[in-house]
Amino acid sequence: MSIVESKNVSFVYAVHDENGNVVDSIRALNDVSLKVGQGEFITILGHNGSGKSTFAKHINAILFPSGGTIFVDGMDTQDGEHLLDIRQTAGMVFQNPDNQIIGTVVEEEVGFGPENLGLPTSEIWNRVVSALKSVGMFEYRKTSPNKLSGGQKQRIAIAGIIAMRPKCIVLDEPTAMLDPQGRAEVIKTLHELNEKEHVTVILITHYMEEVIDADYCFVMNGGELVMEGKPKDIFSNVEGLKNLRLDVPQVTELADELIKKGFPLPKGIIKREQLVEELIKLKNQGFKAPQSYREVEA
Amino acid sequence: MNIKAEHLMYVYEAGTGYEKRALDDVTCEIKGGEFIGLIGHTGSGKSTFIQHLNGLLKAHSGDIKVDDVSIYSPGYNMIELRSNVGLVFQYPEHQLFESDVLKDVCFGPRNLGASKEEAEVLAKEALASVNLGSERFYKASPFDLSGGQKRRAAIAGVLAMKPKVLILDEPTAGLDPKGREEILGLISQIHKDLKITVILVSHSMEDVANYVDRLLVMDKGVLAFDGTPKEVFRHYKELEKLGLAAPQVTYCMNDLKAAGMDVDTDAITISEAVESIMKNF
Repeated sequence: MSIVESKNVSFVYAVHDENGNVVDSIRALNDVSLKVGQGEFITILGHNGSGKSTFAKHINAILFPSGGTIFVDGMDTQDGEHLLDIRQTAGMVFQNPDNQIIGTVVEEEVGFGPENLGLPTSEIWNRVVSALKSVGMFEYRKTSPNKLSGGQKQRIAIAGIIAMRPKCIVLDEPTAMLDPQGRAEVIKTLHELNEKEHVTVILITHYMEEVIDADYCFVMNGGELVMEGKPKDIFSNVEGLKNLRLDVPQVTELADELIKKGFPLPKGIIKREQLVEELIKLKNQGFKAPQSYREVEA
Repeated sequence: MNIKAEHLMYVYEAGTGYEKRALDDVTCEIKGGEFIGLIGHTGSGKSTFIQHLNGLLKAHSGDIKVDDVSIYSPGYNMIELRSNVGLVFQYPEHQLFESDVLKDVCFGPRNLGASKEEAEVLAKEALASVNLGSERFYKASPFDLSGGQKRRAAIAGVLAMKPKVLILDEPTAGLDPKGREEILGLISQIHKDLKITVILVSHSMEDVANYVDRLLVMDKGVLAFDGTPKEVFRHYKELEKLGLAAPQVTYCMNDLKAAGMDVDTDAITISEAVESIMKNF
């Protein structure tokens, strides 16, 4: 069964002038239909303003469709009765860790969600401990969040969501403000949660490297879903992605440049190991590169 | 304009249990017209360092000399220093506040004592250099611009003060790949056209590899490496220990070398890698 199902979702918002009159309306989502299966690791790509964040906010009922319907674990997000259930099913992590941390001690921060669920104290503690362990931050439980690095703060924000035991986590560019190590920590944590605890992950990102290990990828442009597929299929369309203001992992770009020079490499190389293997294969087969680029064109 | 940092030492929360040495004996010289990348993990001291360069923070010991004059000498003109060393903070678009873009960009020069007319001339020049030089943008509310445009308008706000050194703290954070490329291309163009020093703080190794001439690496308040990107990325194993990395393509080259191919492991950009791989076939 799908954990998230979007059926022909559109979202239109009005632009007001200084006096509050409606002067324009903008269609931020247009007829978006997709399904995400329970336990999948999904990424959503798209340039700034493509509608990714607007869509993400529909998944945990921060925004509601102007047309179409979104079902989260079978519940219609517009059904007011299920609002809290939906927010508990699909947790959300935002870009800036500093904007979403309120506690003065890490364990207090992580306990905030379960506390609001009205759980007994002992259960709250159990959840805080297991959530912190699952993001590898247990030894920091007594630390003040402002003493942590960006990557650590983001893992605390993720633990705060995990403590509410959601079936699905939606992350809107969680690594945009982090250094390479912080990025790697967060992505590793997400994959572990996905593999060990079978939490569905929906990751919105601008970093192509973070997409490589996902199960499936959606690409948005102008509020519409324009591409979908496995990462290797998505990244085999180098020009298409560049036209959408996106990019491919550096390894894919390197392979693509070699293909342009006449190397018979397969499309959709996304990992270093693959490129090395393919190049060694070509070398062993005695492949000779054309003398110049012109020769390839002719 | 040459800036010399000599044995800079800066301590946060000195004398308390949380005392932290944010800068520890940092010495380096930044010559006029250089394009420098500054990398280091969060908390390595990058931001503390750049805030010393225009006197926002004062070192606890050590000295900063601008054209051989210490900025800590009595009566030193700090206002002039701050207009000479322009600092663009992270997410600078959050600092836009005026009712239109032109007024916003005029704010800096006006504060430095320029008349309204002079400020507008400077602002228009600055907006032109970030490709927002038309009447349409002058009169637009900063909040109606796209994310990339807002960021360019904010950079113009600093350029309007005619800095000789432009420091940008992660100018591409949060932008999509094309937006990143546009901002970096723009910065590189500004560096060439205005012949000013540019210091780019970045978390993207691929970006610094493509653009800068010299790379400074900070770790725990210490300047860990200082050299050309090629020289620095040769130490990729040490960089990993500092929470950093080499560009992906450099790893590829090292893998190929390990697999027995005669490639240049110094390649740090795609075009260098392609060229080196071609030689094997």
